[in-house]
Amino acid sequence: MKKTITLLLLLGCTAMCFGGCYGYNELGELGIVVVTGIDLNEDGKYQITVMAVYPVGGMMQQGEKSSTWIGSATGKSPMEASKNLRKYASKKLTWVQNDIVIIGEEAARAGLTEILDFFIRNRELRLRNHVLVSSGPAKDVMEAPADIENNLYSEMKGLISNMDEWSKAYVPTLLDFAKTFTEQDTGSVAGHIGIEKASGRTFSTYRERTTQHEGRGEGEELSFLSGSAVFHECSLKGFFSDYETRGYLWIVNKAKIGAVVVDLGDSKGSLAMETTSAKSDVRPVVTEDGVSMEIKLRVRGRVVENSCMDDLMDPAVIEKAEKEFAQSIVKEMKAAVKKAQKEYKADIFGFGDAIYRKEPDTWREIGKEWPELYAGIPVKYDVQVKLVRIGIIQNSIKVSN
Amino acid sequence: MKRYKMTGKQPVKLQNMKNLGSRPQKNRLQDRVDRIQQDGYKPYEDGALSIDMDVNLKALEAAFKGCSDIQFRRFSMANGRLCSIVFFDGMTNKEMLNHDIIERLMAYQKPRETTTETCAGPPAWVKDEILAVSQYKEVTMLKDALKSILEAQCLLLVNGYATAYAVDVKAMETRSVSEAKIESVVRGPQEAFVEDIGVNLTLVRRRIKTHALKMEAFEIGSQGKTKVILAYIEGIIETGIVDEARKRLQKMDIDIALAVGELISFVEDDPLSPFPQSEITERPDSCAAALSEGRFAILIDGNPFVMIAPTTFSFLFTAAEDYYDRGYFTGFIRMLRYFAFFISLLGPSAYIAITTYHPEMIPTNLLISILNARADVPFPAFVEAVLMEVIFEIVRESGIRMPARISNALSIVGALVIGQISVQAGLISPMMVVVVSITGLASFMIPKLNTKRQASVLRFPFMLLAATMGIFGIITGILILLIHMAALRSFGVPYLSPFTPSDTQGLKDSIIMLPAKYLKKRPTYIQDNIRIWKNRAEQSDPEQNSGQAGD
Repeated sequence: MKKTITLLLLLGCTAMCFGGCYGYNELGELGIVVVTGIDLNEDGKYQITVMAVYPVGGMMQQGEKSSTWIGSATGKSPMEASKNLRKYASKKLTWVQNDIVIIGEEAARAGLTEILDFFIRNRELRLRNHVLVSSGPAKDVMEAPADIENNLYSEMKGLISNMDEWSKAYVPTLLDFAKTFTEQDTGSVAGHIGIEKASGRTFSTYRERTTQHEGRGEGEELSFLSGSAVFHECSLKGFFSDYETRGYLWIVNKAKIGAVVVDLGDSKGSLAMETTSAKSDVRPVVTEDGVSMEIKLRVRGRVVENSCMDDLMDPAVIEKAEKEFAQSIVKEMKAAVKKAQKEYKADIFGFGDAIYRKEPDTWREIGKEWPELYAGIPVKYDVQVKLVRIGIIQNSIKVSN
Repeated sequence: MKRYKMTGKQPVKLQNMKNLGSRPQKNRLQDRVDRIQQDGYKPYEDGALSIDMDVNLKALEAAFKGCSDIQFRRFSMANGRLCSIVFFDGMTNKEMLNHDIIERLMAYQKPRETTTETCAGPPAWVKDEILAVSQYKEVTMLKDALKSILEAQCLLLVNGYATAYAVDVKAMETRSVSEAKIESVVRGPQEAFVEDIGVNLTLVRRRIKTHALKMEAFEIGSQGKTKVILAYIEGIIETGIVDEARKRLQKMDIDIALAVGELISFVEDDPLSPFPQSEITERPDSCAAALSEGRFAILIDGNPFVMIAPTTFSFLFTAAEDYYDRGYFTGFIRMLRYFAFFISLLGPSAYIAITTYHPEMIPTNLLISILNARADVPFPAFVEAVLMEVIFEIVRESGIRMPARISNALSIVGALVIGQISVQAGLISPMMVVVVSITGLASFMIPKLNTKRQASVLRFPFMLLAATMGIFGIITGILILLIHMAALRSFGVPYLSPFTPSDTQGLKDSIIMLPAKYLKKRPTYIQDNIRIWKNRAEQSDPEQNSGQAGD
């Protein structure tokens, strides 16, 4: 009995020694980094900027003290820069909760290999981080005040989660980005974040005094998320506008919900559709003339605005509208393809990959010349839109004669 | 009250086995026993009653010396023969005693025998013509006489006869059958066991009207002679289990057995295990249900709680209410109970492990709010959790021990002190209050009385493991527990059955509960199922042929 107890006690003691509290961190000692920005300075040094959440204390009123801490440090490599952050940080910085990576435009243009390696190799950083490229330095974007949320991080998270609602911005996760980034002959796309002068675009108001709005004046900055950034051969080539971004998203089967507006009929006014689902298929067509790509897109949508058509119950009208919508979508895709092919020469749509998968023989022939060949590949569009609902009312509201 | 274990003549304190064989420890009870033997038994080597009533009375007086509640009443019958009755005041029905015994004796005139003559054999005329009571017993030994008096019977001694009569004129103050307080149900029967074992037996017998319901009587305790009944249904219960239970009851070595917990610790397979291998219930219907499932029940005189065994892990999560409800709801609530058990076991330790070792597991916004809440707390999470848990246990325990009138005040103090003031004082973070109160609530979800507080004992080692090794430590702890549970047996029944070893019939009434209609076979893990099933088939066949509807 005595022996057993002693043995158990000893076991308990050794268990504690072995555990040794490795990885033990009190929450109060942590500074939780949620946004990391990285820039390349003019002197060739990396500058890392972090936004960390610091505990402000339970009893203290929120707002009395900001709970976010923004620190910045430079170093020869991203890693060194991040270590140098400790010069100013009073808490133990941890990246386990980091959610957003912002890469400054300069750094992105100079080449992303070193930065991306740091982000992917590090155990603390999760691959589900969102990758954004800022126009201008990342630090500037991170210094913009939050609009209505408690901190800029929540605001950015909101913007990112909203991207599916309009399909005109695209933010990949670190995993998705790294997958295309490391693939040969394939371009990759990251999100695009920018700041603009607020100039009264948004307000936060007190409920009691709606006339008095607080917060941003004319000169203050407001961050926005729109469009995307296109990478090719490890460096940033340029930005897609929101219009082109959606063209891109249609092709890669990532756009689901969005508004398409067309002018239709003789009278002034427009018809708008909200797409509810879209499915695309990119396949290569090999003929004697050469290789071409065919993009098949099937969209289903519903009418959400109608200020021009009188007889939406008429199948012929619906058919006409469907064709117009299809053309409008084709235009978006064409714009994206044109810019990617001619300007950036970045195969962000995975055309090469599609040929490699579906026509391996052809790929063996043309694979080597693909970078040159890509810009000239003809693309065919086959878009079909199906309007499944027209809304609660039938025709446009008009004063009857 | 201290209890002692008898080892031959040497009484040894139960807790202190080290003294065995060193110096003899006398205790008062043993002294008393010795004195009875010296004073009372000495004249009679064999301990038989004497023909001379005065000698018998002297012996009894010596035995009951110092017992002020004993009554000796000497009187002479109408025919001149001397008689005396010995009884305990307050345990006998005086009216019955006066009318049906003393009055009749005093009026008895038939001079069938000479008044001073000594006779061999019992005075048959007493039982034939005088005793107007239903139960009596002939007593020829002094120790039996002592025992019958202690069992609240009235001892009638007649001068000239070496046989006395123990007459049952028991009238003890007992609590009437009242509502179940701890295991109360909404829809089921409301009555609960009482202290009197006779009443308890009837409560069970009334529910199971079969001669197969056996109730074996035991006397437990070398001095206390507590009446203990082993109840089971012959044919349903696995015979090995009854044999084992009987053997363990007979082997029980204790002076005076009062509490059901003492009995359990003697009868259980592994009294050191944190998991109870037997359960207690205060509900006759639960007891009857357990019997019909092939378990046995042990009733102790003086205890309104009945021990049920064998029990398995799944049994701990069944409540009496389950069987009065519909299966869907029962299944849902049982799953909730398992979940609650794990919360009550791992709640604070998971909090400690996740916040100190794995902050990446918490959603960012939640982490930020925990972070802000914890900013002012001066203690590490482990100390905070232990502090809060200990305070909670103090409030809970003192709430039980406190007189009902004060407990209102306590609940205010508890709620205020723990819920609000300690947070405001910066002693404990609000999140910890949430964790501990959910944990506390969850522990009350477990319906079985023995198990209810087991989780709170196990919680602390888990917290220590979590504080030293994080989730890894918790998993280690769970593995150790699982290994222990897999090795545990309750009267030979594997503790984790019907899960492992798996038993399809048993699983139908485990986490889920199928309607009783679909429980065609009894679970095999506790019962002698094959035999029962065969009997049932044989019996039911002729019934079906004769056109009688089955149940």
